[in-house]
Amino acid sequence: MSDGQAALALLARRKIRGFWARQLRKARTPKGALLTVLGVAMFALWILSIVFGASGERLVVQVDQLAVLARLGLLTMTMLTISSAFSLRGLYLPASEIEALFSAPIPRGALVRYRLRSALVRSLFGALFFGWMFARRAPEPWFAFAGIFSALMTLPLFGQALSLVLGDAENRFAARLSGLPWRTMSFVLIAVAVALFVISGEDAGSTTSFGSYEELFSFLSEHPLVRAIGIPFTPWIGAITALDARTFWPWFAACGAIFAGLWWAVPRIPVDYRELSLETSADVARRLARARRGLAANAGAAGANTRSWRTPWLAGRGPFGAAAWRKAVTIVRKSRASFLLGGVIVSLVALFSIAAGEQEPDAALRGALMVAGFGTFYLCIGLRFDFREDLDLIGLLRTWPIAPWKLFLATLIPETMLVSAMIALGVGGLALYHGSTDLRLLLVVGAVPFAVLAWTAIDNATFLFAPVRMGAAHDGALQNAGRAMVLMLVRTLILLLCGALACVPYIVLDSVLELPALVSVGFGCLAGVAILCAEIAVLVVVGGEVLRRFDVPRDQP
Amino acid sequence: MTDRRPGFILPLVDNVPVILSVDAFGRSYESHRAVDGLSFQLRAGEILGLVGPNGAGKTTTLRTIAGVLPVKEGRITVAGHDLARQEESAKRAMRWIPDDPQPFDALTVLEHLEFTAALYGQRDWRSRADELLARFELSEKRDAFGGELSRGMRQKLAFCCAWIARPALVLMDEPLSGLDPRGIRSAKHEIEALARDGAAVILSSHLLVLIEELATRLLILDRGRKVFEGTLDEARARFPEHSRGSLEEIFFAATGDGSKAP
Repeated sequence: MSDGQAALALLARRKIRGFWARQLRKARTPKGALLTVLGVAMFALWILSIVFGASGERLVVQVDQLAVLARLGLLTMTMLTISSAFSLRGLYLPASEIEALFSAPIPRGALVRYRLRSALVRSLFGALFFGWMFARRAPEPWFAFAGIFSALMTLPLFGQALSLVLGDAENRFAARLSGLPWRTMSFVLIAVAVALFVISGEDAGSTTSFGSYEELFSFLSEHPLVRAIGIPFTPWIGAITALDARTFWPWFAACGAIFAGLWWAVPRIPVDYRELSLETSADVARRLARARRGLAANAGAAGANTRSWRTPWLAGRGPFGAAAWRKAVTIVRKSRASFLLGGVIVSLVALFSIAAGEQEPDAALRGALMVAGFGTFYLCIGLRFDFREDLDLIGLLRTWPIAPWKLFLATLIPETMLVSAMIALGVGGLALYHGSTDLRLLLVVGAVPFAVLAWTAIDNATFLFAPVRMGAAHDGALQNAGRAMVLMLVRTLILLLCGALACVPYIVLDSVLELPALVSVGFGCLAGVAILCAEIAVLVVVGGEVLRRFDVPRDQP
Repeated sequence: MTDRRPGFILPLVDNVPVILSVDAFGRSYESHRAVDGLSFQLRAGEILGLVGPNGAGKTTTLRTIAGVLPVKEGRITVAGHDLARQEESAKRAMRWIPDDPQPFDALTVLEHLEFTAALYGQRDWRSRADELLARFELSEKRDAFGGELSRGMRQKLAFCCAWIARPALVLMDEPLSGLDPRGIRSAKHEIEALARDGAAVILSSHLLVLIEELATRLLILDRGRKVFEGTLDEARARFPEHSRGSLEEIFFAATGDGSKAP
């Protein structure tokens, strides 16, 4: 082993040790330990529930059905690998390593092997997990496990080969390829594939409806296109569906030979991957940084055409107004995709409510409650234009001359207004469709801002209390899962309690004192709003206190 | 004696108002003592050069005065306001320029100034913003988003945001990082002009030549403790073996690494 290869092996070992050391360090405080334990429990329960299922029994399927399942599963994984190869062209190395490793006296082949080893370690869990899943349904579990495991461990090698070859092709033909309408071509290709599937499947049976899973499997197993795309997977399908050792071993040997061949060949692919790798590394680093800040990894920056958009100073030109305005500008300029997604969600729920009970009495009210409920749920979970995208800025926010509770409220108000406006539009659309003038719809719309503000206040206070960064498979993934569990419990309890308390005046006036409906509804609403305001005030004060106690060196490493 | 400026009632030392007063300030991180019993005062018009080796406690001190970190030990008063008890009023009198300013990526350069002016209650912001953008050569970038600026431009924008609200105290950590030679010269003139206008400035940097050039007083920290406070001449008198020496020589003498100085 050369010095360079030995150094790479040492780096890999140190990285794994560092990962576990960081996990232990995070679990050193009582808060970190609690979230880690909850995260591990959640992960373990999820795995156990999937692995053993509700009944704990093995559900064996027929060999031909297993072959179809394996073929489609491997096709899906291959498509994902190809898609990943398009986005990770060249040799992906983290931004913290790439400059040092490219400038070090290490042969390029050794770097590729280092990357392959990392990819195999990452694939190990998935290969074991899916292998186990398939084994439970296979007539010969160990053969199926070995076949799936070997296929999923071969895919990273194939993906790396593809990344290098695609990167090389792009280097050679970049000028010619850049003019091609890739998006249109992708749509056309998908349309052609669907058309081919439908046309070529006409001989295999019905393409519109199937009476049972057996009919569907029968159709797919005889479909010429499914058979054709399964050809490259023949050795693995052979191993997975083998019923005896004499059939299994030749196929499994072929799988092993393909793995060994790729392991030997990929580091020897004669391409200079350095320039594309640097681009890929920078691109991934940028996306990870965005994900760490709580934004979706692919969320866009402020659009250049939004430069001239003016956002009104709705809360005045003092410190409070300035803090709310900054957040509002960010939402307006960066959340076009979120607007669209929110609009789609609200519209779908409204359409679903219409389809579900158009003829029923109170259809408009039922629809409005559905839109308000589902809209609040999905939009509050999906939109994160609050402290969750400002984690790296908390040090700066702390220097502003504004009380923490005011800053907390000012930061949450724009998102609350956005979600409330979307839901109000949905409810308004429903009222127009039903021709309803039911005043109770106004009550629903009026309650939404309280619910949204309470929801985001709880989420943000919890986030600031335990500011674990977002990002699956990152250092804080376990604590993140644990916090999600705590958050779900806290949020549900507090929202139910707040809602119940706000309803108390109406219940007392209507059921205990038995006052006329107009009086009980009127005074019940007024008292309910007063209680909701008081509850929100308490949540905001608590959130402000958590923000005040935010320890920048500890919580924002 | 006190100085009654608008909004402030300040104590006077030698007839000059005291803008910042740090008394017995300390801070620990777990078992590590980052700053221990630090006391000093800063008067209007002074530029205090804060120097010390890595881990001396400079950034902890600056970040605590700026309000990023809470005051856990001692007392800090900014423009007559106790930072722990009158946090908002104290913060309104000062601005903090970190070593790597991060502007908001969805706000334009001009909107940063509009936002900062509103945050610090500056009403007539527009004409001052135009003037500052011109002085810091950012006029052409007024409509660029914060996320589109280079390192040096981010630094210049941080200066503009600090200057716009006419602060009584400005805290700067390595303020010249990323600036080109023209930007460095311009920034040095602006810092001196700011002090001439009556603001107090704390300048933390490892560039001892810069400190020697700009600072009217020095504060040298080592391992969390104050090892020297005074003017450069006073430092030379304190370390007579460097009576004609540069700040670099005095720094090594004060921090106990004189033997290692090249």
